[in-house]
Amino acid sequence: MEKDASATALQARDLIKIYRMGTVEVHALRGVDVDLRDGELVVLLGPSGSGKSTLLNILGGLDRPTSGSVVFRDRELDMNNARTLNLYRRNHVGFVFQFYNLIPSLTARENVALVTEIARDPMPPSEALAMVGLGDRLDRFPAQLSGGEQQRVAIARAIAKRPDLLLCDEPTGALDSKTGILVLDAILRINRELGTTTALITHNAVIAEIANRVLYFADGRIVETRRNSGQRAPSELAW
Amino acid sequence: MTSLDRKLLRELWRLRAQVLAIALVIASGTALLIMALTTIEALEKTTAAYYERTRFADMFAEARRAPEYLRRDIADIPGVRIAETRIVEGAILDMAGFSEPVVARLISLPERALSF
Ligand SMILES: Nc1ncnc2c1ncn2[C@@H]1O[C@H](COP(=O)(O)OP(=O)(O)OP(=O)(O)O)[C@@H](O)[C@H]1O
Ligand SMILES: [Mg+2]
Repeated sequence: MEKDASATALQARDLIKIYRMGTVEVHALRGVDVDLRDGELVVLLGPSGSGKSTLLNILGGLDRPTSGSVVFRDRELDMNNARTLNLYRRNHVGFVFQFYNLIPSLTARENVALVTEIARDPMPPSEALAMVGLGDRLDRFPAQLSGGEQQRVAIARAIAKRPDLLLCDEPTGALDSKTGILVLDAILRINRELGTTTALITHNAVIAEIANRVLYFADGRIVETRRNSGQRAPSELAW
Repeated sequence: MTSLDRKLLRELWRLRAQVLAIALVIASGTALLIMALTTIEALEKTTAAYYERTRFADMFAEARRAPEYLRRDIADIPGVRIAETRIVEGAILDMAGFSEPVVARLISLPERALSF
């Protein structure tokens, strides 16, 4: 089946986000339309301050748009209802941030267990960690792991609840290219094996090659959308 | 045990010195408070016991001019334990050995002791 023909997992229409700080208004999003199709891997590229993180946070229910709608699986999210957003995040969204945000006093396994303890249909923490290649690092604390390993724990934590949506905000931003590739491999594997719809922000244009589709951001708008004819494996990339 | 409980326990253990210090400060504060409260209570009980034993009134009141026939009315006021009518007069005495005048207070005694 063509990717185009598959169902839309997430649809955002005319998203506008204005940050008000006293009398200053920052237009972070100036009317963004996005569709994420089921199982698709989308990369967002764009200069710093163009609104990529703002968009991802709104799509993930972490932030509210000033106006516009987000429809998840044919149901519009009530962006003003904290409980709706809470359940949406808990049941459907996995987040990976640039700075892993692991809990230092918990081991890799326990960090993942934090999520699986409240998720509806989680996989065992050890399985999630095995998927990101950390099956032998289960009982290490974050301080005993390298940056790339910590980021992979964060990915395991994000995917252990089998989310429908995996949102990654510069997951390789703090890593060297070799470790970055391991992390991208893990994300791609989850995208393929679990069919998780994935959106990934990066500053690195090379990384865009692993995507099905690339969205170019500038000044609060999507200025260009490119469909990759074929996805490249992270291991083929170099930067 | 959930991971959050584990996090709590581990972090408490890591901060055990501070936790212990804070616990000791709270404990000694509480002990001090309890001691102070017990002391106050003991003092109050002692006062009450002393007043009771010595039949010491909480309050004495004098009337300037109270003829004998008012004694009953006064004694009937709620809370009044004893009403005595006495004659109280002041006098100035000349006493040998004192250069200044000496003030005397003359108080009559009831004919018989009143019973409580
Ligand atoms: N909480 C906030 N308050 C005020 N302005 C904000 C806030 N968050 C973001 N902005 C502004 O909104 C704009 C978009 O920010 P955003 O974080 O989405 O950019 P970005 O594309 O993710 O940038 P980067 O690539 O550097 O992470 C920026 O101009 C930023 O200064
Ligand atoms: Mg950002």
